[in-house]
Amino acid sequence: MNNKNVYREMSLEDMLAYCLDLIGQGELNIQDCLERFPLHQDELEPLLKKYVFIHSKPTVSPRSEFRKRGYKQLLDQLVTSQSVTFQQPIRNIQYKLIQKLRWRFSMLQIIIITVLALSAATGGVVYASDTAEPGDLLYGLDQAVEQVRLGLAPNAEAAAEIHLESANERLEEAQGRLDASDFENAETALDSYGDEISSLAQLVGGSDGADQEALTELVNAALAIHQDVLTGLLAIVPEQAQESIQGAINASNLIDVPAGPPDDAGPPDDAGPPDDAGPPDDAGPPDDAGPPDDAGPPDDAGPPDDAGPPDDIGPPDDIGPPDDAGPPDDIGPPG
Amino acid sequence: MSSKYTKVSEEKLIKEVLQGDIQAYGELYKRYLDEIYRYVYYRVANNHLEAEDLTQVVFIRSWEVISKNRPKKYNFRSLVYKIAHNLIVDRWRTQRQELSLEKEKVESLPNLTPMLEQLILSKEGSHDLAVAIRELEPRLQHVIICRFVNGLSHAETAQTLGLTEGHVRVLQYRALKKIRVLIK
Repeated sequence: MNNKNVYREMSLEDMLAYCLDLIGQGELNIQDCLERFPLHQDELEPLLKKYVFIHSKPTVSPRSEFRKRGYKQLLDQLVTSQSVTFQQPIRNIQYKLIQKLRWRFSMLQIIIITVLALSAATGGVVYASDTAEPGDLLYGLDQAVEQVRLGLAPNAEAAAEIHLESANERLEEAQGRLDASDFENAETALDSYGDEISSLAQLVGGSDGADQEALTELVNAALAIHQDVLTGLLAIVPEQAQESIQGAINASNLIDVPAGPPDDAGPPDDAGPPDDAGPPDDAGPPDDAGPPDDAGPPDDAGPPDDAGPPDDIGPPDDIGPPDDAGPPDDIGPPG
Repeated sequence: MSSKYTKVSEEKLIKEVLQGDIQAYGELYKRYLDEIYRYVYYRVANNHLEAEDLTQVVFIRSWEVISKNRPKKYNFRSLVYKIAHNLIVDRWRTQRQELSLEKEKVESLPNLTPMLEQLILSKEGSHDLAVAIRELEPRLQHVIICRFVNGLSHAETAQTLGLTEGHVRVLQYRALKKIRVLIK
């Protein structure tokens, strides 16, 4: 009886998911499932049959020759690249030194340099501020130093790297504060993280052409990691901290790639769901049973603003490979 | 081909990888090779050779991302799927540019190898599914391959997309409805 009530309150998407799980586990067959949802048999039956059809297709697997060759090739390549990639911290220092030598004496930079020179006597304080966390006295100074560095950035890519570095720091600070159950300051750090990502989005949006693509890739590589960290945090923090983390996850979805998918990626009509694609209005998820508000829209509404980037790209677009991971040109089809 | 890492947990492998241990990464490669290969194959590849090349690039880029960013902890599956997805989007862009430049040339020089491969795959029964999947929008492709081809749970699929399980259930519903129309 209770079960029947629960079934009745489920959305069509949840009914489908429920049936797929149980059919996949071998606990039910299609008929059993349909009997549990008699009012929705017509909608569910063809979908479940299509699932069984897909599931019955033979599995595609790599050739055994490729397994052996690919494994060896991968290890060989990583050995070659390791001397570079795991020396990244040293490369970063060299890079920063070079950047600092590339002075371009704009008025702004002259002012900043003067301020820095005057504050040289308090250099220790500035240095100490670098490790300051939310709630510390020097936290504001830490952020001010970052602003100065931004002012010195010679180009958009350098500015993006500074923003990313700051975003990384904010994220680490948030993790530290959450570990210490200091939710108030964790929220401050997560808000600052969101601000950094917003600045990055503006930076990417303000650039054009190849610069924009290169920046997008650079930024997305880092955001891939951020999203993992944030998603992991979301699962373990108490409810009071979840909203801030969800906000940061949404922020890390901000960066959009400049171009949509190609024509062959899916019919343009697909970008907006067809009229018949959505569940009926009355089948929408109930508050206590369906996906959360930010979890997804009904079919006929497109994706929610807070659930990720545009439909035609999908969230993972936001977290692409780094720009130094090799241009896409070198990974095209061999023949 | 068994290594000292064969029975090591994924968590431990990831820690080793963060220390720069290539052998540990090789073990992760072995564990995720089939999944990522299938993902790439169904989403873009026209033949096995292409799928193999793209799969290799995914794992090399994943290594580069890990070694460059040195995250304290990460979900390897989620990372490789995201990189695979982005690689595919990059490839689409590149191909679109190349196609516009060399359309006539491609049309006049049919490549027999993919055609032969498609014939074989048609007999295997996977080709029609791959073609239908590629008609879907990218995010639906991702969900349908993760859920129905690679057998990931709703939660695992959600993690690879950075979405909630509820959203994955919605996307899954939409994907099946569209596939139903595409594969009669």
